[in-house]
Amino acid sequence: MKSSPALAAAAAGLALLATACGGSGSGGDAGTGTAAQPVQITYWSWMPGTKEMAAEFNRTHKTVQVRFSEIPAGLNGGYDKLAKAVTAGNAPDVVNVEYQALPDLVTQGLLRDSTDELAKTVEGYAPDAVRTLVTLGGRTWAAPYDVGPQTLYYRKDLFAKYGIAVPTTWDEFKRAAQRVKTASHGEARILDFWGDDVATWAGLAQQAGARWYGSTGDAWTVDIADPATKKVADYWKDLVAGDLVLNHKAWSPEATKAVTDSRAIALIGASWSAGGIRTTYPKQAGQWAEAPLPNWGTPVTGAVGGSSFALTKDTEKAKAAAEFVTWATTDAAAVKARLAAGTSSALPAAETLRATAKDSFDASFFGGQDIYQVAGAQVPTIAKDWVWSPVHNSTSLSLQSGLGTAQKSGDFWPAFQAAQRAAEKSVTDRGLKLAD
Amino acid sequence: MATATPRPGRRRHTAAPVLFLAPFLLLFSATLLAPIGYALWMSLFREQAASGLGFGGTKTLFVGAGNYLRALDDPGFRRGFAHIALYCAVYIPVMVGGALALALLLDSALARAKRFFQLAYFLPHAVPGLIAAIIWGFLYTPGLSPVLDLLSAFGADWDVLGADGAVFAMANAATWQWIGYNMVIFYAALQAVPRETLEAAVVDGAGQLRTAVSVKLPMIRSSVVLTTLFTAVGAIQLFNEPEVLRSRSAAISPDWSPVMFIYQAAFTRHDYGLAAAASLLLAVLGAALSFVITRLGNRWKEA
Repeated sequence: MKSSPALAAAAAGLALLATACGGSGSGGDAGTGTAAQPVQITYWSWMPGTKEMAAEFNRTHKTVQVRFSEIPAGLNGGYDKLAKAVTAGNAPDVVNVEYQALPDLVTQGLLRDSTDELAKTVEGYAPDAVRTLVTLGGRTWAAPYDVGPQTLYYRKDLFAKYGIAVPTTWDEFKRAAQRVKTASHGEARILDFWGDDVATWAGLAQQAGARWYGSTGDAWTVDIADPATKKVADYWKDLVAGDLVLNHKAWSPEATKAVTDSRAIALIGASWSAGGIRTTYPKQAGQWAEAPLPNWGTPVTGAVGGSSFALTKDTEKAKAAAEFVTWATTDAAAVKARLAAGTSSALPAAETLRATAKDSFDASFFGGQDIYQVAGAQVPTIAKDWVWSPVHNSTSLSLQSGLGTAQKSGDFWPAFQAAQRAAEKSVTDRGLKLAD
Repeated sequence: MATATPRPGRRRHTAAPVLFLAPFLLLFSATLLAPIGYALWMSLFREQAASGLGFGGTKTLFVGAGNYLRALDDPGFRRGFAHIALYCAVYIPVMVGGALALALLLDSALARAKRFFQLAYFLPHAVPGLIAAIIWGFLYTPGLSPVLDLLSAFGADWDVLGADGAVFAMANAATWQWIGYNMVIFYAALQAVPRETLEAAVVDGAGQLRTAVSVKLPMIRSSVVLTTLFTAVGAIQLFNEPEVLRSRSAAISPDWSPVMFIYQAAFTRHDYGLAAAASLLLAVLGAALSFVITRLGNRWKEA
């Protein structure tokens, strides 16, 4: 009898635990709260400026309050942390997810089908190019924040010095590459092609008409080793084998050094690269400019990178969370707060926000060029119907490894053939259906 | 009185060992047995998508030995063991042999500034392994490495991180890190060799070299066996060096070593069952290796 208070306490504790766990399955809704009793939602991110953005939300909103937590970058542990939190029942309500990772997270069952909360909003502001990336199986899983059309960054001063105009097609690009090599007496090359960078390749393949992943009915299609990708692989093999481009490992110190030393005078990037170029090469201020990426004859662009806001599977505050997400993706104040804190040059998916983004970004590095106009004009040309797949993360690793091996010879094609097999195996390994 | 004492005494004897062992057993169970048991449990299941496209979440299936068979059937996993075997074949003789040679040199009557060299050789071990791997990555990169630039100036262009060199590059980095540490162990063991034995060797006319090989070395056999054991068990868990150098070398695939394979299975493919099964297979290999080395070592000791 002596032990009964302790026993009672333990039982109460267990009961509490049981309700805590049981509650998470319901996916119910606590509404949007009142000023006196605001709804508390939690938000995880690692992206620059998001903390300041959450603070701005709290300053301007009374009925919903956001508690921000910084997590490691998605592929560096952030997504794993999310997976564990969902299993443990203490996941946040809102999380940032890169487009490439979204199908992976959805198939792991970590995110909430937010069609009811977000579909209408997303329809209202998001261009097709990104709406297809957050719509899986006909349902809306996230709200796009930015869009990353591929673009060319080049050194205005050196293009003038070597007497070349900005190439608009890949044929012109090849001729310009020969010109740079001769005019510089072999000192410089037009580009440091990051031959092992899967994101760059994905964009280039998309531009050429490839659709690496897709679905028919309830099965996935994998088309990494397709004719369009082959065309792109052959083109770059030609340039690498002809010593017309440098070909360093992506993001490597050697690659940075080549640009610093003016041995590479252009880079293939995306809308969001401008911020990084500005911080990496501060001494070349005023000499850089952005242009549309050369194409295959018709203005089509590939898109790379970019991220979205998603609600997690077991959130009980979906309505409040959706209010925050809508604000974060469509309100000028959100973009302003986010960009004021960081060096990001991300192009907002919502066209109405691009003027604000432009004002928040110091473009003097680009000689005052309106880089948001340059990138923004590419958005309508982004190739349609590109989607990522749940197996892209693992495929990307093996593809990168294969491309790295091929970097010296420029014989990239076998890497894509191997990636095709790896992706097909990953699909069936995970119990997904592969189309015949 | 003498006959009355045994009873409580015996009782105390039964309680004492339990009491003394409890902290160890508790920690051992919580940090080793329980995780192994959990891994064993996990290795029997497999997460599968609940629908063709997978947007309906996942379901967990019992697969029995399926994950073990899948691990053994995976060419990447098997290649990992081949890589490790090559790595061990290069690394262990060089590192253990080198540490032994350094210790014997330091212990010889001819050595000067012993304390300085002891510290100097040990110093690399004070650098955290991850940091060391990053620095070595720079030293192996042409254009950034002063060593490679110097070699290049003399016309020797050497692709250290190429397909043939990567294993040696890693063994070199690990040797740099561990040779001093093991040298200190050997040196300490050499200090325990009775001085009269060494004097007897000198009296019998043995020179420095003869004394080192025929007298000192056999007397520190157990340290050599122990060090080799630890080194081998550490080597099969190779992860830091290849994972860091992977970003600089196309020759190192994401599943280059067994632990890297496990890491990829768990964290990029979310295949925790496969990762658990592969971990246990690796643990079994580690245990088998320990057994063999200890056996061989005992035979050598008895020889």
